[in-house]
Amino acid sequence: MCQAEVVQYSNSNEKVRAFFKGAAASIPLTVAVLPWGLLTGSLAIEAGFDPLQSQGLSAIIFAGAVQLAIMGMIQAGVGFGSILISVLLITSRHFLYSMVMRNNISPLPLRWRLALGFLLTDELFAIANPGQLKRFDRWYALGGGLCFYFGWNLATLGGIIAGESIENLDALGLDFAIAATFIALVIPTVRNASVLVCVLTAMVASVICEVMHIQAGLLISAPLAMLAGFAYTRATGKGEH
Amino acid sequence: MDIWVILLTVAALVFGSRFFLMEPWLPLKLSQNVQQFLSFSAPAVLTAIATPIVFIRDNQFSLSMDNQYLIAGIIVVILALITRNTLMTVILGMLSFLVLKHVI
Repeated sequence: MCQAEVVQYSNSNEKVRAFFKGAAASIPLTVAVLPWGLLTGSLAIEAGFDPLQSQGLSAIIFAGAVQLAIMGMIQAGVGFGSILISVLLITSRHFLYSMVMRNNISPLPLRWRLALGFLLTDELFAIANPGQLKRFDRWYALGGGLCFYFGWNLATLGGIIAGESIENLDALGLDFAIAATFIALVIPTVRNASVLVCVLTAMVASVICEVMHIQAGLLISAPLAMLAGFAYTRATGKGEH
Repeated sequence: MDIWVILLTVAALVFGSRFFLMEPWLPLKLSQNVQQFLSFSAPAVLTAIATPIVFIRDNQFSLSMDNQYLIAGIIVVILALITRNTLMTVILGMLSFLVLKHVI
């Protein structure tokens, strides 16, 4: 396990270059999530939010799964406490991401921690986690995070403008874009048997959770897969990074 | 209850879950074992999100050739292995999915 390395910049050109490299890395993920942004905007209008609130969901919460869940719950008149508990359940995977990113981000100044913390989505984690990015670069992470933020918010705006005329995305099958992106990101990280064990466990466990309709099945399948990968490494003494 | 109060509270909760554990004042020392365990988080979470999309159709596990998600998913795995390029893999993978879904 490598300790966090700090990238030193000799001039501002390198920062700009790192920023755009990060933005470029998040473009496939941004494109894949555009249909979902559209859907989120249009569903918010449909659920009775005014346009400003609908945009606010994406602009200040910036978490697709949470946004979709609270829209449904507010519309159904679910109580405040229940909403918060559901949100905590859905958002809990971010605790995991921030723990993984801790070595890299905690030494940064407060304004960087605030910015990168706010931007720490599944997608930013996918491109900037230590397995993906050998040397953490704050400008790279910022470029990736902001590109994704603007993509998500522009798509939401599009959905708000289109209102209720957006078709059912499940029928179009655009949900495949997310799966394709995540598969494309995971495959190159399968460098040893331990990661393979982890991935195979995640596949089996997540499908079982889904078939059994377990709410927040990710909270079971992801830790189980991590444990499997870890146990395999321990048992064989292999898979050192 | 005012919608904005709910939105802002939820936003604070989501932000807190992303920000809190990275704070330097938090006495959180991650041992080598914990770090090694955490190093599996990206493949674990991303796989656990993607797999049900590919294998579950109408709430049922589907290994059928009629499941375009599965066929396209296999194509994406092959593309990722060959090209090692995320953008290329996603674009070609989406194209093959759309062809399977709407043309064939």
